[in-house]
Amino acid sequence: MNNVKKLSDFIDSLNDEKKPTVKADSEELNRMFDAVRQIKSLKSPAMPDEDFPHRIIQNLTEKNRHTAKSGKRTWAGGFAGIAAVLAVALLANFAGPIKNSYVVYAVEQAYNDVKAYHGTLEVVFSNEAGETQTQSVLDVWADKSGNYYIEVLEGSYKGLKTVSDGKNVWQSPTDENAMNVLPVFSETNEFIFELGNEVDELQNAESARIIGDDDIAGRPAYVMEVTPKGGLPYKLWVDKGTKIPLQKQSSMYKAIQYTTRYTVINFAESIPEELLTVGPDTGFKEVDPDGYKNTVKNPDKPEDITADIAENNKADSDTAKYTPEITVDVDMDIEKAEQIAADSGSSPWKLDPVYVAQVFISLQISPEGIVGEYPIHYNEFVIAESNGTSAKIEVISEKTHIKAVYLEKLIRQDDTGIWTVTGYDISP
Amino acid sequence: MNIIRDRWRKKKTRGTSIDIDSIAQTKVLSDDITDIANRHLLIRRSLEKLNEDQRKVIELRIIEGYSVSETAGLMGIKAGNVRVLQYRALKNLVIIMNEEENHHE
Repeated sequence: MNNVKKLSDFIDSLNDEKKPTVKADSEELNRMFDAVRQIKSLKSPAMPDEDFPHRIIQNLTEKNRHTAKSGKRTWAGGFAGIAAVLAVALLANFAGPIKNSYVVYAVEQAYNDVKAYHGTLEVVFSNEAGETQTQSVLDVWADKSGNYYIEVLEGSYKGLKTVSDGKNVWQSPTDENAMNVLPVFSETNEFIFELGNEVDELQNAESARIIGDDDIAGRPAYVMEVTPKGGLPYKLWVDKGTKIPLQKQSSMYKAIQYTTRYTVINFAESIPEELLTVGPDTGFKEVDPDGYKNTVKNPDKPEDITADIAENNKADSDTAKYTPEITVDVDMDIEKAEQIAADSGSSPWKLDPVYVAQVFISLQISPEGIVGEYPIHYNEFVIAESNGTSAKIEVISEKTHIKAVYLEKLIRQDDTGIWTVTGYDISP
Repeated sequence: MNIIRDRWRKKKTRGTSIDIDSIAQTKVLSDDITDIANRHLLIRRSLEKLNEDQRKVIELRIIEGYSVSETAGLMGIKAGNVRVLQYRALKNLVIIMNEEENHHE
């Protein structure tokens, strides 16, 4: 066995925490083995977790308190203890940042080689009960100049196309209200899993470490836990082959967790020019990327939101867009309870106006309850109007005499507010 | 009363008793940790003097504990090249560490 192989086997043994069986038959190799052992000591076996230094301080404090009670004062020991804590903390600082740094580096290097990419992005939300629902499936093209093209393949805004040159945003089919609906994810203008942003965020993260291995769409991936500077930690799945992030999962927030993943991703030289064409005859219209933000209220101040409801509703009624032929009585106590239930993760479908309309219609057809498939398919509902707090959903089905359902976010007007049916139109 | 006085006299003569063993042990521990910290600084300084690929292979293979094939995947090179690279990296590192030690003595 040559020295190259011996050295590699020696490293493997230490990595596997086994006693090395390979022997150094030269002084040079012996020194290299010794160097490996010393480098190994840089890893933090003395640091079981981040709380370790605190526990040492606590233990030393308790020990000193105990010593003081017993009447013995070992000042030298105290100073040595503090020195020990400082030394351990010093080691912890050295051991920390280096960990997994090259996975971050590998991601950065891999992205450097990317010019443009084309993928299928899936947006899934889940609640604390573990119920999951695919919110949308998107066809995504993006390049490093900030250009992107997104088409909704599945979801509430199926068919909606969004194009950006990095500064301006255009949408087709033109729907002035689409910008204000479900602002959380990219049925609107917001591109949520843009690889460049992900790489930037990973590089600038407070910490990033590998916590396991997984498989995304059949591709082996590292699972990383990333703590951004000033934000909740999230998990990032990085393709072991390409070193490109494939999936991101947010922390559970207000009982809802979002997962976005590229089920398919390919790399290209550029985005096809025809996809970025937004001329006057293409049906695209420029939209205000920040428009929805004006409608978002602070969920921590529900009283502010409640005070605005009447004013908002008045404005809506002026346009007559959201005035139903038949009004549905709403019990606000029940709605408040439903909102609390949704906040704790129950019935996430109440955050989707189309689902709420579907359930409402289904119960009109089958008042005794829904068994099996819904009588009217999800795709038979179309959002005709919406401003983020009020919506009109048209029903394209012969199975019901109801032609449109009107909904409002009565309790909370941000993306966590539930939709409530307030009325409907019937066919003539 | 005489017994108490005798004890006081003995204590005065002998001075206050100190647990020498505990001080000695703690001091040794403190010295050890300082040595370890210095040693780690030396390794760090030496690692910084390697070229990028050599430093990378050592961090991946030894510090982070990846296998040869995983390291090859992360670095985008063949497994055989990982073994050769880590051999050269450690050979250089031993030389640099010796130089660093001599320089600081």
